[in-house]
Amino acid sequence: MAHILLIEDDAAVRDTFEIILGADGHQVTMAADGLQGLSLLRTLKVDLVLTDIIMPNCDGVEVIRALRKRADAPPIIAISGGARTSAVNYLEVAKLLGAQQILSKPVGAMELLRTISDVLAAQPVK
Amino acid sequence: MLVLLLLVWVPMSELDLYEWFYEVSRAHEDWDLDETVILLLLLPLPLTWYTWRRMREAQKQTERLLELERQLSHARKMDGLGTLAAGMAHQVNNQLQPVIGLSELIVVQTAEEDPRLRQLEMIRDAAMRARGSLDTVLRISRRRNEFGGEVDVTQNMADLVDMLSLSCPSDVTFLPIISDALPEPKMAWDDLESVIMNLFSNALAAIGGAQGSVTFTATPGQMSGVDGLFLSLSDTGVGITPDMLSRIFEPYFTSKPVGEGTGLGLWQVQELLRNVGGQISVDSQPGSGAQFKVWVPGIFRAEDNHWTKGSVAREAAG
Ligand SMILES: Nc1ncnc2c1ncn2[C@@H]1O[C@H](COP(=O)(O)OP(=O)(O)OP(=O)(O)O)[C@@H](O)[C@H]1O
Ligand SMILES: [Mg+2]
Repeated sequence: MAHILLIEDDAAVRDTFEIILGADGHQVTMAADGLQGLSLLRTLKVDLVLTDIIMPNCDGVEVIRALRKRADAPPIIAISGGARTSAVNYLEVAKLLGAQQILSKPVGAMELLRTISDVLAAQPVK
Repeated sequence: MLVLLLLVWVPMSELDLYEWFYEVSRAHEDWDLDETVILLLLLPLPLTWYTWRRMREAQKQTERLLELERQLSHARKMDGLGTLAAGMAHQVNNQLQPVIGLSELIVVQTAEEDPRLRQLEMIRDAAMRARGSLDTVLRISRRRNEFGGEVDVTQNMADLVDMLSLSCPSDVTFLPIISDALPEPKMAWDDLESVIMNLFSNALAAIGGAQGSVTFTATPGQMSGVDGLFLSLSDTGVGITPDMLSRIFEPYFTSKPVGEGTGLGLWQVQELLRNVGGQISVDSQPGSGAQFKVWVPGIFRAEDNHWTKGSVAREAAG
């Protein structure tokens, strides 16, 4: 199964995703914000990044932007709990920026796992 | 400054110092005392000018702050409810995540004949319904202008421009030119945003990974006597061949490889505009980019006028 980096600031949500991903046999590394996630990615090689969008300390949009600059960037699934209090729909932006898939919280366990396996399956084999 | 002059002048006239000064300057012509005095007397002039300039600046700064505060309180009043709803929905969506995620996980792990399965499904379904209610709140708070509420076009445009420049690859120069006196579009802001985002992502796709630029303009203007907004998105991408030009608005027409484009983008854009009486046209030469022009009907709200002249759009455009 896949090695997934999970970037999420809400501890309860983080634990929930870890359990769901673990149930499908994925190996999960967790980060509590974008900054931590990006620094982990400097040394860690993962198959997929699952990131929240609205976080303190470098949010998901910045993570996606930073990741996209790398040639060997893993695929990204962006996940968000709603609109930030501006006119812009951040999930749309995430997609525009190059996230392979976007999901809205709360997401069901099966939908999450299905999306992950779809994104992984669409990756060219290395 | 005045005090300084008094300090010099009072003792001089009171104590007959002029006499003394005259004597001294006569006695020592070579000291150039007259010139020194004139110089000293001239010194206050630049100082006064400088002080006056600083005061003007401070005054302007205060005015700017006051204007900003006025705008902010206006925005707050308009936004209060929507912001509250959106913020709350975001929070509760996070709080619902463990309930929905875990109950569903246990549902699939529980044997069919287990009596607790039904209870678990009840928990999951209740949480799903709560998610549905929140979605409604979010949708309403986002699409306020569908319900006749006011939209702060200047601020919304500035936010959108921020987002677009954020999503621009470093090889592509993004040039937004946004008028600060736009009418309010007669269209849900989400939909207008969707129109612009679609055209923008097409423009980026046309440039491919290459160097180039995307220009986004938004100006007020009339179409057969009706107020509205003219938008344009031009790119320096590959352009569109004449035979393709007639087909790009068709649903499912795409030149992108399977799995990358749906071909629904421009069709959606056209439908959204058609619904509100808007228009879209395109100009393109293969090899020299494309320009999409959009017109959306809009209205000027009387009390908006002082407010649309805010500095936000100017900054975004600069
Ligand atoms: N700015 C542009 N420059 C060159 N060609 C364009 C431009 N915009 C659209 N096209 C052409 O029109 C086609 C249809 O565009 P449309 O937005 O409907 O779908 P798409 O972009 O292919 O797919 P999707 O929008 O789902 O990503 C594109 O595939 C492209 O060939
Ligand atoms: Mg498109």
